[in-house]
Formats: sequence, structure tokens, C-alpha cells
Amino acid sequence: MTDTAKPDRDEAQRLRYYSASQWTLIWWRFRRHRAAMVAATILGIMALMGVFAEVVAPYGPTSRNASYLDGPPQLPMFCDRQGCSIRPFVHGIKTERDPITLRAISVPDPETRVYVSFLARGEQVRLFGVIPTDIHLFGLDHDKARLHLWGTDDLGRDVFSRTIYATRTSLSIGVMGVLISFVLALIIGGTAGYAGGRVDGGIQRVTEVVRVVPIIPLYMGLAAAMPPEWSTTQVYFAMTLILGLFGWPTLARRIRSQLLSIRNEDYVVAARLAGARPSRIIGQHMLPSFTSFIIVDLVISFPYMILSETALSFVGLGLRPPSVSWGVMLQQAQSVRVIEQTPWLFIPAGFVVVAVLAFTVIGDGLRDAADPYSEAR
Amino acid sequence: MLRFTAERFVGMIVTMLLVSLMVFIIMELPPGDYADRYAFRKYSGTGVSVTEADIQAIRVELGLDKPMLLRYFDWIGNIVLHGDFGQAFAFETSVTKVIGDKALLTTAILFGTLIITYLVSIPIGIYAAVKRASFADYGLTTFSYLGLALPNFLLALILLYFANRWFNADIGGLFSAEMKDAPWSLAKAGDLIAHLWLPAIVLAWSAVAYQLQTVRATMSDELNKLSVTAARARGVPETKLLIKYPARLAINPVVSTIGFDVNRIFSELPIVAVVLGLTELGELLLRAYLDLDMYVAGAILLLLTFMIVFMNFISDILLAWLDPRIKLGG
Amino acid sequence: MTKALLLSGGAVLALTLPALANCPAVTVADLQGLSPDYPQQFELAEFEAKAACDLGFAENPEIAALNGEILGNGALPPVSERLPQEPLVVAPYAAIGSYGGTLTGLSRGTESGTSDLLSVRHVNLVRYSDDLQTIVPNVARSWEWNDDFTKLTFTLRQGHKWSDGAPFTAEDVAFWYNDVLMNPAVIEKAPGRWLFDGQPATVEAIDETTVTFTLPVAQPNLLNRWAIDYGQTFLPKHFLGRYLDKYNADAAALRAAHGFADEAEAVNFFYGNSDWKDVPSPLMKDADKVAAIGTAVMPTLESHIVVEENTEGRHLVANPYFHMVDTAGNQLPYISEINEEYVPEREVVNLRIMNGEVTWKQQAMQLNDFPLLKENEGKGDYTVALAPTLGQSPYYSFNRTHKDPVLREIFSDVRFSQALSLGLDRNEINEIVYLGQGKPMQTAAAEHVTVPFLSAEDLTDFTEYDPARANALLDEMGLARGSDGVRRRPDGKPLSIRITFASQGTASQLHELAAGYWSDLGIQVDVREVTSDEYRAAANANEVDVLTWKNDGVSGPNISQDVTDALFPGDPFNPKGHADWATWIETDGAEGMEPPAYIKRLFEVAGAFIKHPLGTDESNALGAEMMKIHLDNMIKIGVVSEIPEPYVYANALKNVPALTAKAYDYYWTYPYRPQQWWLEQ
Repeated sequence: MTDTAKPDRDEAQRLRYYSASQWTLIWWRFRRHRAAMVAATILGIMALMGVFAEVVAPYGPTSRNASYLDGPPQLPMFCDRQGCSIRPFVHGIKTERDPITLRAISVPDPETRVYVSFLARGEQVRLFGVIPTDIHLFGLDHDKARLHLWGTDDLGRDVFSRTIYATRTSLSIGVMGVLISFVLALIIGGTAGYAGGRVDGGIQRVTEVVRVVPIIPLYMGLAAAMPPEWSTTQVYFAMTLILGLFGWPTLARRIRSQLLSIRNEDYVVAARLAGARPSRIIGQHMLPSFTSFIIVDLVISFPYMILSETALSFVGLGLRPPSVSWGVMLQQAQSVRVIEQTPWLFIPAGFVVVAVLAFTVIGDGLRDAADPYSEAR
Repeated sequence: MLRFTAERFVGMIVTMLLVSLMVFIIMELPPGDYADRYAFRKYSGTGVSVTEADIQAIRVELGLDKPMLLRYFDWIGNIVLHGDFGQAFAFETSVTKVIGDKALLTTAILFGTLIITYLVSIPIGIYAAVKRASFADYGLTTFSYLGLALPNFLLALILLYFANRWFNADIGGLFSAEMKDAPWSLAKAGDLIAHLWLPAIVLAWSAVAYQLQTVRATMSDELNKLSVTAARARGVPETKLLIKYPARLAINPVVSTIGFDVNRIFSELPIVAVVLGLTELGELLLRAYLDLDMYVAGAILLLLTFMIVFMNFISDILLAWLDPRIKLGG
Repeated sequence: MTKALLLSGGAVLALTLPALANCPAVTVADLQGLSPDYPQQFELAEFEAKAACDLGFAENPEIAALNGEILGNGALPPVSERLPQEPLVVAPYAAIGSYGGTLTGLSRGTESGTSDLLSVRHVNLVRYSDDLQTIVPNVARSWEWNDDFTKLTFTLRQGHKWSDGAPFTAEDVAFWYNDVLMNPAVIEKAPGRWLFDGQPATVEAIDETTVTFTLPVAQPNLLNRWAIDYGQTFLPKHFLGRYLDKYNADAAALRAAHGFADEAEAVNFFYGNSDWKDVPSPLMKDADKVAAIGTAVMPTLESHIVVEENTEGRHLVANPYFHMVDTAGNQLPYISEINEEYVPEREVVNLRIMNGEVTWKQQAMQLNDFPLLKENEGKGDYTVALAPTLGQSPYYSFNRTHKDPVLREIFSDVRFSQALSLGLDRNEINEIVYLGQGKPMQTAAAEHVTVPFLSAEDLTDFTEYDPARANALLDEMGLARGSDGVRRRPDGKPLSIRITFASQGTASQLHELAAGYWSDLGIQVDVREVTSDEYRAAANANEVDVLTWKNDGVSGPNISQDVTDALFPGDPFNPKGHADWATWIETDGAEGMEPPAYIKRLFEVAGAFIKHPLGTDESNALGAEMMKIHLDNMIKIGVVSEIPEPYVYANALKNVPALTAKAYDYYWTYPYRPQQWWLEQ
């Protein structure tokens, strides 16, 4: 893993460079990939928002505002007809029903201002489920009025708050599902690809059987077989497990075919002749040759995990209220009514796209960073 | 090559047997059976009180009382020996009649989607890899991911909505009203294509996202290989260089998953079909499964899975031909 | 032969009489001073006498072509010979219509959500007028009860014909009952709803047009059944009878030729297993057999007949022998064809409507889609209107025969239901789920606007939102809260219930809201959505904590002759749970679970209730007692009632009145005479 470092670097840095471990090198190179760093930052912020959801979200995921149903997003402003203020504010809002179409329509009252404050006191929550607090990142000065940055749904629940809580659920389910399937894929695909022959043949059959079965009926069958008395937490874990258990074959098959195609490369043969253990040959010699491939697959499994979660919700195996995930939220947005009248319920889709993209870009950055030759270009 | 093919063929048969067992287990998973539903249909609203004995009698009549293993062998035996897929309870006719010409339409949708997927994803994937980290790359990636990030149901609904609003497209169905019952002709095929583009786009969009990323990733890997650098150093023209080495290899993982692409597309088909009003097997599968009309569901699952296994077999052979190292290793 | 003679005799008679004026085109909007014996319709003689005119008949110009689509039908005789001698003369609502066009409607599937379109073509011996108060003639010209309500006589129309041109007579009614329903060789188990105290009735064809139902016990309200029921009490004897050895010496050979193993199989192929009409038709079951037999479906008396059916939908054409004419003498129906398409997805239904592709749709249209549909009315060239509903009010009924003895005891305590009723903020529910259009109310075992013994004032107890009082009641029951705020059951476990529901019965928002309110009372609530089939299966198997559905099937005309829906376990489509109680009562305590005294009394009262004519003092007293038992013990917790719902029709569809009620209990469109709807071209 040597490198043709430029001779004009000063000695200390050169020394540091040569003595650095492979992963340190990768990190250094990754840091220089600007897009990947931006993506990592976005994902980091998302993760933080999820972790601190109780404080970031002004209201609970099921907390309702009965006087603002299907309400459009409210944009805090600094100026109105009465002049400007340093503190952002929103106008008071009334919901009325159109007498002909019966549609709920919110009417802002330009006469009343409600000021936005940061680190406002609001609903009593428990951070991480333990620490009690009533401080929220932001809120309204008023007891009754509520700030709905991204509007509300048909029950008057705050879309912003729900999205924050959903971020936590979806990211964690995605990550756990990906991890479980990755470990399984590594073991199964690795064994098949390295051993080849009969072992490979047997594993191939099993992988194929798991893979060719269409997922929807399988989920539906499992949904029916799952004990109905399970709590939402149990359902949550069962879901990550199911996602993981059925997510491995794609990756396993690819790991296997990559391994198969390089198992007779000279350096692998050499390692084998030198008496290296199979796990070492796979881990140290074979896997690194297509790390980026694995990374990409991992990254790309992520949206599938999220979407599988949606599919699970669709067949009734998914999360149930009061749990909320991106999938659950989009599930509720699946109507012509929403497309035409309350498009802000699609905001969680933006989160899905951004998260998925962020993973891709990070994957890209990692690929470049992991590639020892990239510097040469 | 012949021996390799023969071995794979035997493997395919074994897989098909295992798959048929798996399909049968899926058919058995939901609690209850059609006897309950049948009793409900038969007697509801008639004021007849149904006892467990009545239901048991129906069960015997429908042959659902036998032990599971016996039913499996009956089922698969009849299919293999007589091509008889059993009874479609809810339609009170044979499964073959219900599935009938829908199989053809479904195949048309699946392969139409598959072709679109490859036609779009392979060239764009290669292009994106070559122009990696450029605006074009991220733009294309973002666009393809939109198809992946939005649940298919939603995507179908939104596309349908705007297709209708902007282009005044028909809502749903595979044929326009006047063509539905017409015999097959060039005009009818044209009508089918005119209706097929929407589901094909919905289904292909997410599949494209997946394949595009795979091609792009493999291509990037291959581009970084020394052989490419060396060739470039020798002054091989860029296009020729791309086609000669990395592009060929980049298609490798795509080829190896054709069967599974079909499966993935089919998995999403029922939901899209429901929205777009396509009367094909995916939608029928969903309905049959909810109705506990298990022989219909089983037949569809079996046909599909056999097709996938067969395609995997073909892709194995193709792969060995593309990259002989695999064959030697096997 | 005799018939032809009669007809020509009539013609001669008509010719010899002094010429009368042409008949006035009477409509409901303009009756031109005529007052029919029954609302909105006349018998021919009555009409001609009252208007002092002579009605000539006209037909749909497409009728020969339409007839050509009906497999097995021969060439058509002239319209005057196709109509009964005494056709029913119908006054159209707004105008005499013109013929032609196709009515496109949507169902969910072969046997799902089809009753909307079934009702469009439906006929029965009698019908409810659109006031939902008056029973009027339809297939039957008249009816008569004996004094003690044990014998009902129907008079049919002379010369009425099936859709294949064969005569329809009293024999066809007797055949339906004696040779199909009560014939164990054809239907193994006689349907209990046509038994009376477990005894069959005697159905006799006295002459060609007179048929009597002699009942073992008094059934004063039974006529209602013919007015509101999906089931038709006649079957073509000439068609099905030929497969029965009793009527055809060569039946065995015929069955063999047509590929039927026995009588039951032959009847089943055309009729199905019961009076349900949405079962797969022969076209669906075996098209090859249909081609071999030469007849697609059994002849009908309905306005339209199925000529095509597959997994995507049904196609129907007008019945050339239909027995109604309008006041200008035009044979009905006006509309030539019906296209029934299966669209299972609600959003697609909405899109199709907004795109103007649907002529008529009312079943399963939900109130919260109304704003969307209303805003798109102009673009789709349709009208969406709200109609009052019957039987759409949701309820919660806690399972008092729960398998878990602890929950059973809690649910059996009326204070529990009272507390949970007080815990519901009905005004908020009404605003959020029902667009503020319903009325917060309790629910009993009858639809209060349809019966004299229950009024809205009786339904106000425990409807106010009073969490403090609710908590006090729960505390009083000894369900103390744990440190986590969740109440504990007597055995120390947290009090946890699950709401299992199907969105076909009740809206998911309702349950999300209820779960929230009840969580505030310290009860752990989990909501789970299932398909309607799963819900029914779970409810019938006693596997739900709380039954929740819409309270349909309890309108006066229904419960007065079939009290099933006011009792337990209800009908399988709308289970009321508690099957163990019913079993105990049916088996005189040998099996099942002994019900509390008030339930025993409820069954007693209900049994007596149907023996008195609705509206009499005895009936009112018994009805009131049934309601009181329901309300005092809060068997059901009502939420919101009198909820309107939308229905949609293309602007081209004319003569559609404002619906008095949108209710399956009156068989959807049957009171609004879809035969006289017409399409403006």
C-alpha cells in the first residue's frame, strides 16, 4: 500500500503519512471529498435530530391541534402591515369550513401576532425516555397557539414534529436492517464464494429460494402469522429482523460472484499456498479488492430498507400508531386529496430522498478514499 | 461448458422443487382457509346458522382437510402430471381459466419494464461513472433516486394524477374501452403500448435507480483498475477503451441479477396494478391472497418463481460465457 | 295459443271503442292534476281511466340489437306483446327520457361492493317509494293480508314475461320456495330467514297470477322484506325446472348432456347457493359450458341482464321484456347498457370520477372525499351531492363474552362503557372525521329516524365530553392507575385493549382519536387495521376486545321482520359478537355462555316484537323496551349519528331525484327507480 507522495511535502507530514494506518489514510482522503463531507454532515444532522427528537420537535408526534386541521405550513416572518419586528412571528389562525365544499380552510388573522421564541417551554417530554424536560428548540410565546412550520395533517398533528420523530424510527430501522443483512450476507456469500463447488451449489439453491419468492405475499403471510398481541416495540424489532433476514441474498450473491471471479487470482492463490486461514484470505486479501462494491451495496440497501418498511405498513405488518416513520407518514399521504389539497404531507418524501442521496454520496466518497490508487489520478 | 450447463440445469430443477415447497408454505401461512370464507359467502344473510361441522364438511368437499404434506404432493403432482393448477374457489372455475391470457399481459409488462430499465440504466450508469462527482452525475442520481424514494403506490398515483391533468390520459386499464374486446390487431397492440407506458415508467423508475447505481459503482471500480490506466497511457482512444474493458465487466453484475430484477419488479407490480387498474397477475395475486383463494395465489407464485429460476439459470450460463473465470472456478 | 287469442281480442276491443285522446306525459314534477293510488306510479287501467286516454307503446330503437347480445334469446315480438297486459306505468321524475347510452358504474370486485349496481337493475314483488314510508306495487300488482297476518296473497301481472320471453307466473314463486330453497336435494340447509319460528311457510300458486304465502306464525311486517331485500322470491321454473326429475322425465339425460352431475349442481351453476345475486355467473364459471348449453345466464325480470362477465367487470343490456312503461308508453329502461367495472382502490375511484368517467356511484363514497370531489365537479361534468344516511353511525361495543375472564368482567360492568363514552370528545370527532356534518349521539338497536319508539332525545346520555367523571367511574370500579399512569386490572396487569377495525366499517381517524382519548383515561389502547373479511372472522370467532362497525341493518322495515341485527351475534356481514350468548339461548343452556338477565329479556322482547305490526301500541312498547335495554346497559357506545355521505352522478344522467336517504337498509337506489333514469346524448 505504498504511495507516490509528492517530494515537495515536508518531512514530518511525510513521516506521518507513511506511518498512518489504512483507515486513517481513508479518513484523510475522505475528508478531502467535499460532496461526501456535505452529505455526511447532512446525515449527521438528521441523526442528531432523531436522537434529540423530543427537544427538536416542538410537539409530540400524536399531539393534535384541533383548530388547525389540514393546515398549510406557516412561515415565520419579520414584517407585516403593522411594521417589522426583530423577533420572528406568525399570525393568529382560524380554521373555517367552506360552506359548499366543506373543506377546512385556515384564515390568518393579520391583526394578531404570535412571536416565535427559541428554547421555548412547551409540552413535558422525557429526553431519551429518561430526562424530563419541557424545553423545546423553538415554540410560540402563546399558550394556545401553535407553530406549524410544515403544516398539519387531517388530525391537526404537526408535520414538522412528526417528521423529526419519523427520522429517528426510519434511520434506526434502516441501519439495523442493513447491518443484520450485511453480516448474514458476508457469512453466507463469503462461504459460498470462497468454498465454491458443492458448498456453493447448496448455498446457491437456498439463496435462490429465498430470493425468488415475491416479497409482498411473504410479508403478508408473516404478518398473519405474527402474534397479534405484540406491542409496538416488539413489532419494531420484529420488523428490523424481517428486513434483515430477507435483505441478505442480493448482497450475498454479489459477494459470492465477486469472490468466485477472483479466487484464482495470483495473490489469492499465493496466500492460500502460504497457508493463510480462509477467514484471513477472505477478509484481508479478497474483500478489500471490492470494498467499494460492498459499500455501494450497503448504501443502496438503505432505501430498500426504508421502502420495505413502507411495504410492510401497507400490508399491516408495519408500524402502528403511535409509532411514526417516514413510511407511515407517506402511507397517510397516498391519496388524491393530499396531492391536490395538502401537498405538504409529502415533505417526508424529501427526507427519504435526501437521506438516500446522502448515503450514495458518502458511498462515493468512501469508494474514492478506500481506493489506494485514487491519489495517483 | 456442456458439463457446466448440465450441472446448472440439475441445480435449477432442485431449486424449483424447493421453491414449490416454499410457495406452498406461503400459501399455508395465513390462518384460516377457504372453507371459512366459503361458508361465509354461502350462508351470510340467509339466516342459516353455520356450525363447525358444516365448515368441516365444506373443507372435506374442497379437499382442504387432508394433511399438509399430502396436499402438497396432490397439488404439485397435478401440476406436473396434468398441468392442472386446481380450483379457483372465489371465481368457481379452474385456475387455468382465471389466469389465462393475463399471464401474457403480465409477461409483457415485466419485460417491457426490464428492457426500459436496461436501456436507460446501463448507458447512463456508465456515463455517470465517467463523469463522476460532476453536476450531471449527481443530477442523474438524484432523479433516479426519486423513483426509489417515493413508494410505488404514491409514484403511480402522482403520475396518474398529472398524466390525467396535463395530457388527459385515461385512468387505468391496459386498453381503451373500444379496444378491450377487439381481437388482437396492430391497432390493439398500439393501444396496449399507449396504456403501458405509465406502469412501465413507474415500475422501471425504481429499478433503474438500482441498476444505475450498480453499473456506476462497478464501472467506477473498473475505471480505477491499473489495466485501464495502462491502456490510457498507451493512448487507446477513450470511447474504445471504455467499451473494451470496464464497460463489459460493469455489465457482469447486471446480468447476474436479471431473474431477481424480474422478481423485484413483480413484487411491486400488485400495488402499482391496483392503482393503475391493470388486470394482471400481480393484482390478482393480491386479491386471491386476501380472499384465501390459495390455488390461484399458488399458481401465480409458482409460475413467477419458476420463471425467475429459469432466468437465473440463463444468467448463470451467460455469465460463464462473459467471464470464463467463473466457470473454471465452478 | 289462448294468450294470442286474448291479445287479439283486446286489440279488437280497443279498435271498436271510441277513439280516446293521447295520454299526457305526466311526470312527478308535473302530475297534471292526476293523483295516483300509489306515489309516482299507476296501473295501466288506472292511468288510462284517470287521464281518459289510450296509451300506445314504444320501444328502444336499439332493442333488437341488444336482444341479439342475450345468448339464447330468439327474435323479438312487438313491444305490446312483450309487455304484460297490465304494465306498470311509471311517472318519470322530471321529464320523459330518451333511449340509449351506457351507464358506467364501479364495484370493488366480483362479490365486493356490487350492491350499488345490483340495486340499479333490481326488481322485487313490491318496493318502497322514495318517501321510504309507502310500499308500492312492482312485479306484483297487489297484495293482501288475512286478518291475523298468517296468509299473504300476491297478485301478479297477467302476461308478464321473463327476459327470454317465457311467461312469468305464480308457479315461478312457488318453485323458488318449494323446489329450490326448501329442497334439500338442491340446497342442503334451508335458509333460516325463510323459516318462521323454525317452520317453513306454505307457498302455493293458486292460479297463473295468484300466489299465497301461508305462515305458521303471524308475521305482520313481512311485506317489508320484499320491499327492501336483495333477494328475489321467484326463479324461472321453465328454465331450472327442466333439470329436476320432478318436472322433466328426461331431466337426467339433459343434465348429462349439459355436464351436470346432479340436480344441485345444475341449479347451482345458474343460481348459486342462495339469493345473493353477485355470485359468479355461468359466464365466469365456465364459458365453454355456456356456449354448449346455449344460454349465458338464467332469465331475469330485472331491467338489465348480464351478457358478459370476467374478472374485470360485467356488461349488461336492457331486458326487452321489462314490465314497466313511462307515462308516454315508452318501455323502460331508457338506458340501453350498463358497464360495471371493478376498481378496488378508493383513490382510483376518485380519479375516475374527477375525470368524468363514472355515470353513477354512491356505495362506499366517503364524506372526507367530498371537498375534493366537489372542487372538481366542473371539470368532470358531474354532480356530487350529500344525502342523509341510515346505518352509517359508528359504534364501539365491548366484548362481554371475552375469552379473558378479567376483561370479560371489566367489560360487563356498565360503568366501563359509560366512562369510555364520557371520554370521547364527540364534537372534535365530528369536526375532524365527519367534517362537522354529523350529530354526537348514542346508538341503540334501531335507526331512530325510521322507528316511532326511539327519538334523538333518547340518545343523549353520556354523550358529553367529561373526562373527570369518566376517570371517577373507572376509579370507582377499582381500576387504579399504576406509577406509569396506566390503570391496572384486578389481576395486576396493565389494562390494555386493542381496537381491531376494518376501514370498510369505520374510519381509521376515528380509532386514532378514540385511542388518544382513552389513553388519557389511563387505558392502553392499540389500534390495528385489518381487512373486512379478517375483521368479520375475528369477531365471529370471539377474538376481538371491542366490536366496531357502522350500525347498519337496523332500520324499522328491516328489524320489524328480521330482528337478527338488533341481537347477537348479528349477521355475519355485520357481526355483533357475543355468539356464546346466542348459542346458550338456542341450546336452552346446554352450550355457550349464560347471558345476563337483561340479554335474556332482550331476546324475549325481540321475539315478541316481530309479531306485532310496526307502529301499533304493542310494537312501540316492545320496541321501546328493546331500546331501553340497549341504552341502560350501554351495549353499544354510539359516537356520531346522522352523518351525510356523498353520491355522484354524471350531469348527463337525468331524472335522478335528491336521495331521501343513502341506505342499504332500503336497498340503495331501489326506491329511486333507476329504470327511468336516462342519459342525455
